[in-house]
Amino acid sequence: MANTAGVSVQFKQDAMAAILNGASALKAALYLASATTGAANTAYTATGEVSGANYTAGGVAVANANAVQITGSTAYWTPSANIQYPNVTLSTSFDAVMIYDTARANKAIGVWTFSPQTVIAGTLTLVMPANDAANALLRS
Amino acid sequence: MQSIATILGLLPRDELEIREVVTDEAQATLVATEYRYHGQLVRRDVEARLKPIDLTLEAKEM
Repeated sequence: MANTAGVSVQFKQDAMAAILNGASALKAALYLASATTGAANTAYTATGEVSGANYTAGGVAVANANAVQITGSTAYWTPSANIQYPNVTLSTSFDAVMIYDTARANKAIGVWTFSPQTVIAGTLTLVMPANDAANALLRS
Repeated sequence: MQSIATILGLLPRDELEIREVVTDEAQATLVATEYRYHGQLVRRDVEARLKPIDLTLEAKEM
């Protein structure tokens, strides 16, 4: 059996856990389809953020009771509950959500995208995937 | 009779035309539930099932 090069899964877990630990205070903000929010954004920005009835700038809190875990060579993490925006009206199309950490100067964790959507007097639910190596929201 | 909150206030569920639109994409599976009252869209809920993004940490060959 040959040796293989690779970053240790322990390092991956430690790197992710350094950010996604119990001290973090995560939030999820939504962005208009016309915005340019993405991986190059280092922190939460109000530029391009949605606005509408019952949506508060900065978004909503993200439950983070899950520790970063390891399976095989994959470290992974998923928020511990679905993210909900209840009773909102977001009539201009949006297509992205940024998760960021208010405990670290609003530094960004990541941006997830989907096809442009609107919500009318309804609820937007971001359903979290299974927290495992194949499906977790964030994997390394 | 069950009522649904809409932009026109509470409306009887029986009087609403309800349609689910499911879209499976690379980055999410979306389920939009649309409620129409006499043809007018009066409520729209969205459920987005997000899919993973991967951090890439690779060891460069020496």
